[in-house]
Amino acid sequence: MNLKDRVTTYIPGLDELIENGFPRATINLLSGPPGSAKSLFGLQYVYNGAKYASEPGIYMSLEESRTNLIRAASAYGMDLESMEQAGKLFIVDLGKMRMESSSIEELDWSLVSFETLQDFLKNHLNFSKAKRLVLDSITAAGIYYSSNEQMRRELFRFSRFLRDSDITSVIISETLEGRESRYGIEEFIADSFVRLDYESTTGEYRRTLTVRKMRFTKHDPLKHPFLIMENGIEVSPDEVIG
Amino acid sequence: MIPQEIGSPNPGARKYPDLLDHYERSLQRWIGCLSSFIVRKQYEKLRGRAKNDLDRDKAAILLDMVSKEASLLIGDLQAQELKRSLIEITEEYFRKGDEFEG
Repeated sequence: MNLKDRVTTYIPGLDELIENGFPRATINLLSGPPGSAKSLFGLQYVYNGAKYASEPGIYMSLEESRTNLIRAASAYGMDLESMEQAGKLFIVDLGKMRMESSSIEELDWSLVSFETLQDFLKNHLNFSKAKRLVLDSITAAGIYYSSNEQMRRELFRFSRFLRDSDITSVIISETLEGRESRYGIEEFIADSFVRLDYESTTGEYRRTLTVRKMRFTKHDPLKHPFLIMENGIEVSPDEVIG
Repeated sequence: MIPQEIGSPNPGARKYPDLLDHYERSLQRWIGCLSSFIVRKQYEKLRGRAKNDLDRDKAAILLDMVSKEASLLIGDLQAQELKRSLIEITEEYFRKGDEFEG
């Protein structure tokens, strides 16, 4: 791995904090409570990559519908469908598949496992040549497993597959208030850990972003405010909270 | 060649027509094991409460449904390629069936 080879997010203000982007072929955990703009971050990451770096990307949604994602993105000036038509972006709605699986014999399909995701991606990457991936969310895949130990083993195997695939991933983990990640193990398998929050500071609610960990990178570990503007997330690299 | 439901009086009966296996194999190279789910789900939607059979007309509708559903996962370009492949498979399948029946 060439550590100088960075995958620029093109999210205003963020790349300045992380030496111009994620190190290529790494797994980057994005965690935060509901409503903290994790999906928007993911959409910007794959859309910007397709638009500004001509890097094909896959946004794999296990919860949010394709229609909702396209609508949400368009509110911030991102035309996902035009990127799809150009073959640079794939919005993969596995949530729809889960919704359609209602019978007991289809239970395995309604709960998408890491093995299924890996099998799907292995084939998909052959033709899509994707360089960026967003998995939204690991929380939805994790409920397939009956024990934390099994989940940890399969997540580790899946993470090894991702690293070997030369793809730079953002894995979204939905957390509850006061917790770092949903299962408490995602941050250990990931190369980086970015935390989004929506919290009260000096009497007003503000959105914040903190880069908790980033391997191979001299990153800024401080908590920075961000705003959701016309074109999505904009981080304030010069402003620090707390 | 005549597909039958599981639980039918015929021992060894199949739940799905053979053609679905061919469709699955074609789609597998793009999306792996999820192809099974897509092909069978679309078939069940098409079949509804009707008896388990698949003639040329239904097969034409089915391959259209499968291609359309798959396009959401693999994109339009690949879905067009998939559709061409499914048309070939379908024609070959029924041609062999016709030859068998003489």
